[in-house]
Amino acid sequence: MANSVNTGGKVSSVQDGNSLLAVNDLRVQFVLDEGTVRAVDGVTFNMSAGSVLGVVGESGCGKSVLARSIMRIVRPPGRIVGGNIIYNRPSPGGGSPDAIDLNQLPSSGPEMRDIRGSEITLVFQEPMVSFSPVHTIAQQLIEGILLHQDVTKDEARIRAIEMLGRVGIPNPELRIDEYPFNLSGGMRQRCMIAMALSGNPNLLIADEPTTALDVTTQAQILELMSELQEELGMAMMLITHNLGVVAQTAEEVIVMYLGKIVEYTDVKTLFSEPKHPYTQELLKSIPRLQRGAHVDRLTAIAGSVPSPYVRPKGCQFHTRCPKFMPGVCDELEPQLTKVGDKHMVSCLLYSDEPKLDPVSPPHG
Amino acid sequence: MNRNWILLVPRMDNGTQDYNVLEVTDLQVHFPITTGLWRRTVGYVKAVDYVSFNLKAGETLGLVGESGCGKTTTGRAIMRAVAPTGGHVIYGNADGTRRDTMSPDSEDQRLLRQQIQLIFQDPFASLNPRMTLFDIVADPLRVNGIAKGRDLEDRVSEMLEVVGLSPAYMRRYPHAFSGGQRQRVGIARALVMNPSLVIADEPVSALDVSVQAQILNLMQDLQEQLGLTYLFISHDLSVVQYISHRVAVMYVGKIVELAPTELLFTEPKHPYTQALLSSVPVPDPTVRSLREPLEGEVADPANPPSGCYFHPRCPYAKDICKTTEPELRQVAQGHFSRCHFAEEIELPGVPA
Repeated sequence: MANSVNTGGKVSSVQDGNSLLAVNDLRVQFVLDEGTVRAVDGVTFNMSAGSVLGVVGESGCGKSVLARSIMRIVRPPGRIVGGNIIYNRPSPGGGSPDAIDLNQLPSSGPEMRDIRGSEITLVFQEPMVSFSPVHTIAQQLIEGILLHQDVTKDEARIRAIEMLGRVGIPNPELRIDEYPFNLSGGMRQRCMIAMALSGNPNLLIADEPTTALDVTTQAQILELMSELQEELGMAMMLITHNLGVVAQTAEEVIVMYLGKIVEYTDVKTLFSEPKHPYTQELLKSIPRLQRGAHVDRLTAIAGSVPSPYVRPKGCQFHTRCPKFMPGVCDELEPQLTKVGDKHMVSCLLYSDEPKLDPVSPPHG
Repeated sequence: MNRNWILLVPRMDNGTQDYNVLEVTDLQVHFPITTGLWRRTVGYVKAVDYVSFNLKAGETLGLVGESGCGKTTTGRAIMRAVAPTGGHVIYGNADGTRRDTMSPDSEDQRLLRQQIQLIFQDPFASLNPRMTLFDIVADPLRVNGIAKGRDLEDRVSEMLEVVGLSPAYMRRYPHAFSGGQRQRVGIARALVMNPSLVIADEPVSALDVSVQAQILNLMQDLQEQLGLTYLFISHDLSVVQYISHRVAVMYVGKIVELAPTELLFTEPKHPYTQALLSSVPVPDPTVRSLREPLEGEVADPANPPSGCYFHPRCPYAKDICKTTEPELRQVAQGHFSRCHFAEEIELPGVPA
């Protein structure tokens, strides 16, 4: 079923050999006075080279912390407490890739600094806050290029102008010497993307890249990112809360809730056959732009996301779930299990075994 | 300049108690741009420029547009939170009395501020962290000397119940509540004065999608129960489509299209409306959104283009658009557009 889906000529799958990034049982915790927040709690996924992975979830689900963990820029008190982040660095000669566990590297060591900002780059949500206000676009772009590439200052400037032109900035040779505040939100985000792409990354992580932008600008930026992704053949991880953005750009999708993956599949299956009640409810609750929509009533998900300090026992979603099974969902912790080809769900509805013996602990 | 005193709402055939809660005529808010030591005025940012619309009792008018289009300033000018530089805002009552919000009479102003209430965007910023839920919701009643003591407490707890919060929480502070719950407090505060008109400025933009639906449903229920009239300001077209009876689209301080919701979304008559509709990413991977996003950016309201403000970005622009500014005119029953070619161009609207 999901196999026959053609995602625009690109081949990708949840599990395959052509892996660029394999995250395995990643755990990130924030130890605070109020308690320990398990921001990312056993996340496992795999990205192949050139694929587009969407990560969706509501605020506080851990999607941004996940991005920062891969970049190894989680700020204290946050700490990666377990798991692997295997980056299969393509070898320049085309031989077998070099597997590096990013989690084993010192976060400010030379290897990580080499990868960060060059091979794996990050586009932030708010382009105004992520640029330095007291340096010109030129200074900020050229600094990155000089840091990672063996070029002279003049060559770096030429490369920076070239990148700005590529992301659709008019008169890049003039605009490059302006300060971020001279540019509009859309233009700043284009500069941000230019900066992220200047090192020819293998993986671009975009954390809510269009959330701060207006709809018409959002459409421009999304279109630009998709174009560049195809053109440059890089992999892209797109983190967003907007299901429309995911539907239009991603090939595979991870749905997160309170630090855990609840559903992981390709984008068409996610929208046509969502399995996890959270995904199902989320899809029902979004207002859709379509004919006659204004006469309908929205289906709201009851309650709100629980406090991260007091997580519900068993399945984290059971407090809001319309398919809640008493004695099962509030006792057992569901595991991410395969329910179809390239389709994984973490829900007890789809695992027969725990229902037989609701008293036994879910796992070791 | 163009003073179009058109009545934007056609009279309804059935309604006897059909009256306008709000009549906005040629509303202008121009902010001066000053320079130099003597603060010499060198120009104006025309944030709101000749905006006219009516709002019937019990109706929701959606006001959409991109950031900087003047939708928030319009809402605030109606409240007199910013002083309009021109135009009239007439507030009408069920008993037939009409009040000009520009009236200098302080008694008029006091009564108006009871009748018109605001719901704000950010529930984290709009509630005083040092006040309990009770204090927040009771404040308008106290200030206006409407209730005190036991009566005050009863009214607050009733109000909290109406918006879906337990009165047991009323001695707690906002920090203990989630975004959705806080927005309910904001709604309770607005409704406790029993207003007839509520101006909701992006009331669900700061909320998570799963909570957004709860608040929208609550607002609809309250409208039915209490006969409220909403001016719903938002940048999110899908939310506006869902909650509004009619929708006005603003671009650089002017209304460019105003129509009943279904018409606006299925048969838009202004290219900018169509561009907005096409830009919204469709939450369905089998439908490719129209990938023809608008070129360029929103015009600078301090230095707008000649003729039609939208012409530099408009795919249908002709010579006349560069020279002559189109009027907002009725192109079909209840459907207004500010485009020279509203009748000629065929715009697809939203997918079926």
